[in-house]
Amino acid sequence: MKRLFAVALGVLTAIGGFLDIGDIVTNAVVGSRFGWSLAWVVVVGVAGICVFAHMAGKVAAVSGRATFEVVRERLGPRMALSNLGASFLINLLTLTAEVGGIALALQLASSVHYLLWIPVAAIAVWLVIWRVGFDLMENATGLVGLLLVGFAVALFLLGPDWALLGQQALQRVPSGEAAATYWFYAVALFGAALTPYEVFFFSSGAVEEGWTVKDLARSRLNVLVGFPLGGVLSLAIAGCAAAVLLPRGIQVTSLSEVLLPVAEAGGRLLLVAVILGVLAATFGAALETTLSAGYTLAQFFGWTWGKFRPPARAARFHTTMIVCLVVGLAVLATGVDPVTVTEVSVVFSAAALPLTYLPILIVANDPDYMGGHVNGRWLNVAGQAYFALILVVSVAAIPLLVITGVGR
Amino acid sequence: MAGFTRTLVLAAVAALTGCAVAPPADPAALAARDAHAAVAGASMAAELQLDGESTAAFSQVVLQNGLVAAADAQRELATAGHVDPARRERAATAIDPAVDELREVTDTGAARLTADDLARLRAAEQNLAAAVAELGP
Repeated sequence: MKRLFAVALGVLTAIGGFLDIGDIVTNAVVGSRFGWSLAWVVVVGVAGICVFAHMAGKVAAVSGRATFEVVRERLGPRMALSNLGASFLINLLTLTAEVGGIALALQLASSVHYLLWIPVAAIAVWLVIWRVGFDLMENATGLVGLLLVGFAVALFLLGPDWALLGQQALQRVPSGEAAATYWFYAVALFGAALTPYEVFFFSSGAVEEGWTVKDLARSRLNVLVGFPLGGVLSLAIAGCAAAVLLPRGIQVTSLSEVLLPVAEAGGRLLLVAVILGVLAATFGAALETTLSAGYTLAQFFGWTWGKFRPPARAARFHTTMIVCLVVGLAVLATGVDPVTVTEVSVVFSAAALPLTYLPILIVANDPDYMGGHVNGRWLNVAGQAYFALILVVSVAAIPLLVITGVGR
Repeated sequence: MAGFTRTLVLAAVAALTGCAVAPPADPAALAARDAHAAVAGASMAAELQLDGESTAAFSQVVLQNGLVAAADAQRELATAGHVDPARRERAATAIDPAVDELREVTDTGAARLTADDLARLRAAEQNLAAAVAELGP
């Protein structure tokens, strides 16, 4: 019974923890401009994160070590350094976006300007990382983040024209939109679904929780059930925007517009629930990105790391996280729009994806580390197919960002 | 495998970046579209607030964000170069009063909104919709 509860909890937190500010904003922007015509990207992206998160979880459970430790040992410091450089900077950008997301969610709840909430958000993230245990931190934010199911509830309450949404899903570039803009948002959605920190956190979290080979089934369930259901919530966000905002010509430029369909569908109660869900999702993602910053650097340099150790015994790990939070806070304090930071972060994530995912693919195929748990044929076919797609997306991301002027 | 991947990447770059050969958007049309989107969002928030389906804090944030976005569109139109004067004038005659209305309603505050405020926002939204239709995508 206890084991069943642990599995259910893992799946629920995987659903609630799947969405972050990048997913929420990007799906809403896309829904308000393109309807469901980019829904296929969410499906492809979610399948991709399932493939690579499964591999990363397997590496951690089998070897008892997190991705970066194994990458450096297996591929050497030069390759690992390029992996670290790209991943760390993208993660820092994502961290900044998530802290901005917390502040925006608090603004929606209070109407106090988000700039005043930014230091509060950063200090709260640091305090939780410093004081709260890993399991409690992960489970609490994941479970409260489940309130984002409110988007799915809202979509059904709105009673949209499902046939029209279906037509949009089969349509490519809608009239009035440039093909480059369509592909820019396809890349952004893909980048939002495969954000690198998700894999680092998943892999390092497995070490924090002491996973072994016996936990492989649990890891598989978390990934193969939790993440796709999280993807359904992404589709619901885009669907709400497509049903309410697109017909009225309202394009999403801020987090507040994302929630207008929720208020229309379910009134105050649902609105308050979903604001709380957004707060939990962004807070959870801020914790994960902050920890991922510490994990990547500590694992590369061989420092002592982990929340399971007292901060005094992992001083450099904790100092890294504090410095990253201060940097994120400083960037946001300049007044840069957190939504713009989010949009840019998901596109740069897409550009850096090969450096994150190639090492995982290599290590998961190495019998010296994986023994009898090396990737099977089908997982390898899926991994290589996705890696080819990731390369294409990576090369196209920055030109599309420049050409479209960040999707204008 | 490496050759195949290289070919695939080159084909994708050519296809994706080649799609970008689209004429640049007209600043007047763009400003009218952005201002319309901002005012439409604010109108919706005001309606939800009056119907008791939203919280005052949330509605106020939507109004403030709408005002910022509409004022940005107004400023971008004013500072844009190479705009046909007639098109600039058409966009400005819809955007300027809409920004004024939105500023007044935002200053009033979501908690004190009246049906008259909503009607004025709706009128501004319709004027902007007409401008968008006239100026084209």
